[in-house]
Amino acid sequence: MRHKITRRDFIKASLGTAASLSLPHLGLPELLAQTLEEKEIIPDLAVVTDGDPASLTRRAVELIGGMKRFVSKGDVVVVKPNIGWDRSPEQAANTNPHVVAEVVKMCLESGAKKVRVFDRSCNAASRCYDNSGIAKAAAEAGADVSQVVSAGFSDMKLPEAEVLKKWPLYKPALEADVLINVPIAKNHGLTYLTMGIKNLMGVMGGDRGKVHWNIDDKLADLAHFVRPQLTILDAYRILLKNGPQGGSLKDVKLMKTMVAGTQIATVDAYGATLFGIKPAGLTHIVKSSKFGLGEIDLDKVIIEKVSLG
Amino acid sequence: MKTGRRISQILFLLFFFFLFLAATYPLRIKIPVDLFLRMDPLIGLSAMVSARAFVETFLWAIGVLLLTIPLGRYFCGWVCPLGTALDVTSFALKRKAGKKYPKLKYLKYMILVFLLVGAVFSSQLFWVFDPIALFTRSIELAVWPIVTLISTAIYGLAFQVFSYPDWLGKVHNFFSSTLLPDQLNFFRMSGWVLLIFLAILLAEFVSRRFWCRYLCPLGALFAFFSKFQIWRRRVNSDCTECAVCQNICKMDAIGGDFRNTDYAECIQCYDCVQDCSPAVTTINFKGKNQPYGIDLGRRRVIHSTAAGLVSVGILKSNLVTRNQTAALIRPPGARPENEFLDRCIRCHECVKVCSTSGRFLQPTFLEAGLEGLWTPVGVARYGYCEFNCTLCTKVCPTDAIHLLDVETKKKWVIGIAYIDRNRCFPWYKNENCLVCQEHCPTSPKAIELKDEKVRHFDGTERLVKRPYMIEDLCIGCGICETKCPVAGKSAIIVTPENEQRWVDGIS
Repeated sequence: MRHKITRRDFIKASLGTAASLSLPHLGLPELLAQTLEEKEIIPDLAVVTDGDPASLTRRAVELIGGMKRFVSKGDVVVVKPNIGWDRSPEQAANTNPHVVAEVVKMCLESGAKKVRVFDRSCNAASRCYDNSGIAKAAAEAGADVSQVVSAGFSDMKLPEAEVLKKWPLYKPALEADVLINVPIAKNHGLTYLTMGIKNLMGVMGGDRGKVHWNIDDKLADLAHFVRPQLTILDAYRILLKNGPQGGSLKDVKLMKTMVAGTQIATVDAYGATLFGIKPAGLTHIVKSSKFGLGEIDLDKVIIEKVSLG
Repeated sequence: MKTGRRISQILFLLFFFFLFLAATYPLRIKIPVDLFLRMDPLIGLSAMVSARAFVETFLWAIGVLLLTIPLGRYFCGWVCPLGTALDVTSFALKRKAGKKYPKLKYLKYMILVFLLVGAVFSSQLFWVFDPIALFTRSIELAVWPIVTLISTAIYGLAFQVFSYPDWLGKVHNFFSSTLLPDQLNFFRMSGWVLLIFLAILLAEFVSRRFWCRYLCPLGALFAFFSKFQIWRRRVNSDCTECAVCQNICKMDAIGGDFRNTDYAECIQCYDCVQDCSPAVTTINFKGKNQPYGIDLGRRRVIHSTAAGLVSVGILKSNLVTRNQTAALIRPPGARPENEFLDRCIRCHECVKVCSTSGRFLQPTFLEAGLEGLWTPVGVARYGYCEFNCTLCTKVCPTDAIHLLDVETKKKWVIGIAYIDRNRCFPWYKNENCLVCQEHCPTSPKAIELKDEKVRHFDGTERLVKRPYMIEDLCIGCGICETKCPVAGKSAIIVTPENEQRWVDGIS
């Protein structure tokens, strides 16, 4: 099923088109120069469907260049899932534990010195870590799973921010060599959906309730500052209603989809389409895109879709 | 044997602290964490007399009480964690036996009679004097907050000095739910509880085991039951009358004739056996046993009975009206208010074990009236009742809070929230917020957002998401009130409207 588009294929096709039409191609010299590099074109987004959570995750990361593209030997990596709620994996309120575990494994395979997994939970942290299954799965995969320590937050200035100019953020997340954002795609009453950008709230300290006033601008500011290198959107199960913590299995839809990309707004934009929502209608994604955090017009994005089914 | 007694004391004290620390999520241990409270016959008695119902947990206490018949007040000398705490205090302060007030010895019996008489008329004051409840309460409300203060400070310091060392994460993971919580626990009545606890400890300056000698009603109860004790102090005729034993006896149990022992007071501590230089003092099972009696005297019985009756009058004529009492959010599974107050002995195990420990469950002051002093109440502005959590229903030694299973608990209504539209942002400021709706744990949510087109005060039209309560779905967990970002008083408040209480056979 895989439609692999290498850069070479792309150029050949372009040249072929140009030649067949016998028209002068304006970008030809550049394209010819690039053919010398013989590199694959890495898509902006990898979308893998129909598989178990772990293999979906692994394939999605491979498609956007493999974990080695992000993690070098000796790196300290932070994997930031959503462990917000005292809910089980089936209820789709937290990131799927197998997804988190697989990401951890890939980081270690790429030579990471240490992989840390944490999130600032909304319910009692121990309950969320246990019930979500993430603490166990990630630890077994070799990660350092820890609860957020209140002393780890320190006030930080967000220099480029428009609204959220100062906020306490979690130092271990920002000081890591690599930050990998692993959100789950869920319904949310205020931002309509919560995915990659909103998942970054897990590194915020202080009274996060106040973030909800003018939330779209604040989230864009936050995403602009935190800048995870890789976002893997877990859409194995998505929560359609009563988000962000759901509770009823009736509100959960099995999508068996994994979306990976380096541009957080692009990932979220694709995630929105899974719910049948146009990305342009989600203010926080639009604002983040304006900050240069990714193209949200999916027609302009190179998407590589693979089905494992 | 004195060493043996000390080892026993230390082990039981450590065991007490172990159970205390284990009383937290995930509560996996098989031993009941309220074991010491269950072993305390006074607590079972109190609940059964005031609530007029059999309390299963009393079975443990029957064993303790039966052992008292041959062994005397062994519990006071060898087991009681408060007694050990007092001995440790004396040891640290290097206190001698101290002053003697022979007449005050009767006070503890009078307290026991006073409590029993009151309990018959449902004025339950056992909680004030019961040593195990008092000790558990003091540790939880007065000492534990200090421990959490220190532990959070340690984490903070380690974080500053070592950045984020891996060992800190491991220590935190291992201890944060038991010994070194990361969250500061605070309780409203801490100061008062600490004062009383310190007063009891510092009474050691007056005389050793002041509390046990003169005040403890549990000791008094044991004294009544130890009438036929066969494990007794015995002095043979070679006594040189050196008076060492009388001087060191921390219970003032040795009278003018050093061969005689006040068996109602003796706690078999073996101090006198150890220090008897001619070695003529022993504590054993040999020899004849004369039963002995405690003569309280008619006058003392009448006085304490009268005091018990007066206490009924004072406690039952509440200093607050019913409406004020009705503002209390009780833990899920709590029995109807009257029965709850009859049973609750204020040990604060439920407060300790609570998933949002140090936040949601707090001791009352006078909100529940004088008779409801220091009972556990949910304060939703500080913390909330975790949706999937049933821990507080698992640890109540008197069944004032009845055991609920998780599915029942999720539907158990402890109150209903209402929105204060004068303070709620979407209502008075026409600005989006939704924090309450986001946190609402029921499915479907008890708070619904509706898109409304409103005219702002500057004349412009706006689209605002406004929260509405769906009362039938609300269980009063209070997470909305806790998380409401409005400063000060929350814009959404839980009241006990519609609350459920546990009634045997009905609920």
